[in-house]
Amino acid sequence: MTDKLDDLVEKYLHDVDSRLKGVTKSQRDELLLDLRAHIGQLRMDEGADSEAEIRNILDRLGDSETVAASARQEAGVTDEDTADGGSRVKQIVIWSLVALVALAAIIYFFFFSLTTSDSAVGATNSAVGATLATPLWTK
Amino acid sequence: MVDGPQLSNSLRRGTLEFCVLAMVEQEDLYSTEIVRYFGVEKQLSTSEGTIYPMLSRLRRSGLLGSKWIESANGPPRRYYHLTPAGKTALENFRHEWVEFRKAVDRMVRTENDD
Repeated sequence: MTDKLDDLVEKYLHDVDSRLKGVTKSQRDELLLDLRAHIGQLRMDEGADSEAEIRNILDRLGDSETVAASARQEAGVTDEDTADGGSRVKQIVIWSLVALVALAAIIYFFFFSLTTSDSAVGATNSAVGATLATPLWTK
Repeated sequence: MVDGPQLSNSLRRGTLEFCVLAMVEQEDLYSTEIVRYFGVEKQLSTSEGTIYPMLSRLRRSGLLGSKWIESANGPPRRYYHLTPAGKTALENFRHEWVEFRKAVDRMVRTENDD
């Protein structure tokens, strides 16, 4: 029975920990240590030795997301930092593509300005350069 | 529209930490005692687990100090005490709070309410 109660507590602590992305290791460890001490203290004070009593202690602590959210906030982690690891990667990819297209355009212009036969260059170049095939100054 | 729970959440933010500082002004307390005191004040009570990240921040910013002390009958307890910086912050808050409260009372016309 005790094992089962401990498992309940460990699962709770694990759930909190898994939601602490962006919080430093030392702050995570510290929070888990505090929560563990809190649960241990209340178990003793209240003589909690049934599943219902342990659940009651955990309920009063708050659900794992509530506790983790306050830890992220107090640690100065913004929601954007944690919202989605992928969104940051996505942003980097998008901006890289934008930079690549801009670079291609610059190279194209540079190359184009050195040639005199604009129609030939415009026709054989990629879609990236296609919209730029007719520079403003030739209009 | 700000409803009841959301309103008291907003009011707690920024004031709760000074309640903690005041709690340990006279005597050192361990964390579950601090949590328990908040439980008694219904207007201030919140999920118990959210107190710990706040205590952590107050320690990191030097307003609270803490030390673990072995307990004769149970797990070790982390006792909190007010640092000189915490004392100063609490005194500042007391002054600010009174002026702030007076100003809000004038604006929302609650001067004569209890």
